[in-house]
Parts: sequence; structure tokens; C-alpha cells
Amino acid sequence: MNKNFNSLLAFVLHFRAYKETSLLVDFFTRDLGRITTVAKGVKRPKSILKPVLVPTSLLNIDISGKRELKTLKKSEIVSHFSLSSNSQINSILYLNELLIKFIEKEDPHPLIFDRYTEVLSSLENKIKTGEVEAELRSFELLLLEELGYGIDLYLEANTGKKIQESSTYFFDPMKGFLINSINEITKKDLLFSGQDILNIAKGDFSSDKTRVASKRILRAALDTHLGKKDLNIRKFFS
Amino acid sequence: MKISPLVDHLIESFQCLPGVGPKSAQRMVFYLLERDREAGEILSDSLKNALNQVSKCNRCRVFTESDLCNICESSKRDSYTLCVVESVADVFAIEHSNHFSGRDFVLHGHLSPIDNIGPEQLALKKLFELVRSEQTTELILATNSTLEGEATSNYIFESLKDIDTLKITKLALGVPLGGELEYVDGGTLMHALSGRVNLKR
Repeated sequence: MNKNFNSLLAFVLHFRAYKETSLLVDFFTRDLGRITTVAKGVKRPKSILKPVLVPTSLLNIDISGKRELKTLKKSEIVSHFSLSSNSQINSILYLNELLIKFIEKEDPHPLIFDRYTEVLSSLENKIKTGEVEAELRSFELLLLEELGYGIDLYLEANTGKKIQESSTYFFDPMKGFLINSINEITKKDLLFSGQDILNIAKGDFSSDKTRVASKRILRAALDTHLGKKDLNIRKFFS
Repeated sequence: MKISPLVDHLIESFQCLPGVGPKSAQRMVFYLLERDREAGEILSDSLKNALNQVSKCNRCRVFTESDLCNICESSKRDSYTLCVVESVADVFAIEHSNHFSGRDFVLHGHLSPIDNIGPEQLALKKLFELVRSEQTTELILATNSTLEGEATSNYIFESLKDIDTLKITKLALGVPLGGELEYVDGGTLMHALSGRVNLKR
């Protein structure tokens, strides 16, 4: 028995060549999560699946198949995001690698999908590095939250007391922010001011200091939860 | 069904080709054995010779059996214009347009973090050395119009933009010849609009 899914909202995360004119396409769909489909004959001049090839587009797709590898039946562009600058393209490549490495196949996360759509649409108008970074950090925070690795930006992890602007905290990716374990052995680059932590909580990334802090916190958290997997894009574009 | 070890082995060997499964491999093998042994010999000889002798051109990395390929050796080619493409098939496509008289450089891929292909794997260093040593005046970035292709173009641009004498250009994007606007996707149309041409010039 074949299963059909029609009118799925989807983004292309990655594709690779398959046979002469086909592609294996990794989609991030709103309702089914990450799925892999074969797009048969998509490289032929008149293929109706062509829209799959237009980068950074929100697509409406029909698929069928009951096994892990689905077949792409139809694809239409819902909206296209015009992203071509270096920081825009690299940000999308980064987000796509995050999604492929963090989200299991066929595990739907509509909130992450919606946030991804928002990030693409706001990246269209944002060229400044600071603004792009703020978008990426808030996406990472939501990704961790949705996958059950959320970071508590309001309470100290041991005592449950509110994080104070004037105090300094140590960030342990498995536990959260700790006030008591600050000592000489503690790694300096994982110490953060309460002010920065609270700024991140409010989504206020306007100060350079907060942005640097948020990058360190999220990098430590993402690395811990990725385990042995590496984010290649950091090696290539840093 | 097993027929003979040699025939089975040959059928299996044919399946290394993209798009060739057991059935088509079997058809090819039977054809060669039954109908055209001579063609089979030619095939096996040329395959052997090509595998033994063909390597990449020292300059542009196109397949060739000499140190330099025909394009790079030709004196008719403009050696100051260099076109960067992803694959040898792209070189053929550009040659087919009969409109390019410069030289090429084949990356043999594109940057793709998900596939773990970075600047090291693409011999970008060789490209950068070539641009400097040959005093290239124009570098045409003709990578594919995909996310990874764009990332590759951007990377090359960022690495070479400080050379004052080097003009860096990119292929135009727009409505295909014989294309009807109605069927052109929004993204392409947007590029076509922003790259529109002044007719009075």
C-alpha cells in the first residue's frame, strides 16, 4: 500500500546526484520533519519537479512511498528568498547542517520549521554581521529548546535563584548556569556575566559583548549535544 | 542465475556505471558477446589505455593524457581570462557555446559542509596560485546556481578580491532563450529584472 502526502510545506536542505537525471533530495518539511525523496528526472529540461532546484525557496510538495526513501511527485514554489551575499549563504549552509545533524528523520518539529522560515525571511534584509548573528543565535536557542536540551537563562542551576545582572556564572552545557563552581580551575571562556545571560533571555543581542557571550554559550551547548559529530562548516569558513 | 564466472564478473563490472543496474548490465554484456565482439575489444582497449594514461591537466585540471590539455596548449586562447567551473562536463558545455575564448579551471566539485567537502578538497589553492602566477585579468565564476555553488563562488571571490588588477565576474541569471515569462519561477525572474540591460547603451 502506497502512502501519499500532499501539499507539504518544505525546504530543500541538501541534494546529491542520483543516476543520470535524478537527485536524492533531503527536505525539511513542516508536517513530517526531515525526509529523503528521490526526484526522478528532475534534470531533464521539462521536468515538473524543477522548482526543487531553486535555492532558498519555500516549496509546496507532494510525495508518496511508505519506506524511508519517498518519491517526489510535485513541487511548487510558495515563496523565494533572495539570499546571495557571503554571510547570507553561509548562514543557510550552517542552519542546514545543524538541521541535518540534530534532527532525526521523520521527526516533525513545526516550531523549528516556522522559525527557520522566519530566519530566511529576515536574512533577506539583514546584511550587517551583528543582525545575522542575532538571528542564528535565537534559532539555535529554539532548536535546543525544541529537542529537549533547552538552556535556562533565568535561574541558577543549583539553587534555582534568579540570575543576577551583577554576578558572574559558569556555564555547564549539561546543567546550566552555576554560581558556586567558579574557581581557578574553571575555564575562563565559559564564565559569563548575569547581564549578558539576561540580555540573551530577552532576545536583546544589541551589544557586542552579549553577542560574543551568546556565541560561546551556544557553541558549547551545541557541541556537547552533537557528541562526536562535527559541524564541518566551522572548519571551512572560520 | 549463474552462467559462468567470467560472464557474471563482467555483468557485475558494468554495474559500476551510474544508471546501470543488473538488467541493463546483462543486456550490454550479452550484446557484446553475441553480436559485436570487435566493438568489445575496442571498448576494453580504449578503456585500458584511457585509465592508464589519462590524468588531469596540470593547469586547468581537465582530463588529458598530456601534461597540458588542448585548450591550455592552444595559442589562440586568451590566457588572461579564466573561467572557473565545477565539472569537466561544464567545460564541454561552455566550449559548445562557441563564445568563450579564454581558459578554464575545473574545481571537480563544490564546497559542501554536509558532504565534508571543504576548500582543501577542491584544490582552491592551485586556482589562487594560477591567478597570481599568470596575472589573470578576468576571473569568471561559473559555478552552478545552487546554494553550494554560490558558496563556492563567494569563497573564491572573498579570497581574491584584494588583487587590484583582477576583475571578477559572475555568469548572468535570467530568462532562458525561448522561455515564456509565465513559466519562469519568481527567483529567476527577480534576477532577470535586477540584471536588466539598458537598450540605449
